[in-house]
Amino acid sequence: MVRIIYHLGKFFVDGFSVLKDYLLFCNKVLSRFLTFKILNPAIFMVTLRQIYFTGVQIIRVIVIIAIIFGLGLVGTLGKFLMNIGAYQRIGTIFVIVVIREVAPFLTALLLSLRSATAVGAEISMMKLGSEIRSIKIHGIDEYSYLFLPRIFAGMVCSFSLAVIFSAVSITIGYFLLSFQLNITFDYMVLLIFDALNINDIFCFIYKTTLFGFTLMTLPIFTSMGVGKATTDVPIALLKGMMRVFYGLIFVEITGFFV
Amino acid sequence: MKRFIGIDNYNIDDLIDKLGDLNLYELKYYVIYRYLPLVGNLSVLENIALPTSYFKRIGIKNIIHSVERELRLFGIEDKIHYRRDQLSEFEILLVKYLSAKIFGVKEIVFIRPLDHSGVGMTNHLIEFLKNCDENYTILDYNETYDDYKQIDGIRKMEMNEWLIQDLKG
Repeated sequence: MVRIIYHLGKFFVDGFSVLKDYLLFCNKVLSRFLTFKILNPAIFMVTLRQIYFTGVQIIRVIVIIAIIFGLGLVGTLGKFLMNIGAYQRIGTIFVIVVIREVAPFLTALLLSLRSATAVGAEISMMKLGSEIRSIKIHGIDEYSYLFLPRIFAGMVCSFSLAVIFSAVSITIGYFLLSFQLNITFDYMVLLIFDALNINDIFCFIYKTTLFGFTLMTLPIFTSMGVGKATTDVPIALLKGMMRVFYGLIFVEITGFFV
Repeated sequence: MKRFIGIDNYNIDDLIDKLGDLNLYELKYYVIYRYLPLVGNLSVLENIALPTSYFKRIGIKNIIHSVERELRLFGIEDKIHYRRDQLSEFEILLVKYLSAKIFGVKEIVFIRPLDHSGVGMTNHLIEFLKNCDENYTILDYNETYDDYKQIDGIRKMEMNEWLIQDLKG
């Protein structure tokens, strides 16, 4: 019994200690963000590059998945609603399924798999190879120069890619419907916009930006724990990706209340 | 001003941390040490331009010509877009030196520069140090002083003197 209490206590103390450190890390990043460090030419260049790596290179994959999703779910769902004579609800259903839930989450999932792992590995290797120490010794703030551009790019790309995903999947879903039913695209857009309220827009922005923030900050924060052993790198990656998973769940759950 | 300081009884990491503290708000001392590497995902041009564009807020486009000119002097202008892993140890040292030179630091601190020279390159490195016009301090073991003695105007100094006079404690 004592052992169980000991392990339970240790689990919570360790958990809170990590959470405290993570919040301090986020505070440092946000303070750099609010002081417009991103406008520094050196930092701005890194930011543009990160947006390219995180957002532009993945657009093709996002579009393909959005097309598949549009054909599969939106098309089928739309057809089903038509069959039961509830096509007036198509806007509401599209808004809830695509804009509020699927687009932000699938985009975040793809970015986690592709960019969060890359950023985690990159920062781990930079820490291991003393590159971070090197820039720090020369007066360059690693939070401003290394972390902020990656996190900002994650947020911008998560939002933009989710917008692209929503637009493509809804458009493709419409094409599928338009083969069989006599509704015009502008009528469907009208239905969607009628169903869209400020809460949905706020929820979309909340989820996409917070997903982007979470999936970049957690791997970077975890990678900063890498010491001098190469074996620390896979451990940091593993821990970082698990934390990203918990982070995504957290954002998804809190998104219900928005 | 060229100086040599023996580091036999000192911990290099502590010294580097001290220099890092002095660089906290403004880059004054550029440390050239094999174990403080260049940023691996940046090119030679970007590594050289980094301190200038970060501290002086000057874009790379405005520095590129002076970087090209300096690289040409060392015959490595064709490597301007190379990354760290495509350079020799000596070329890495040159990139660090040019980064400090173009920024215009108060002093360059070479820590065990012979580590950067590689097999058979010691004379090449000494020749480079002889022609180096910037203020610099070499931190190395006393037994290596004979290698540096041939540099004109080099003065041997005690670490404490440097720490107290120049680094203020």
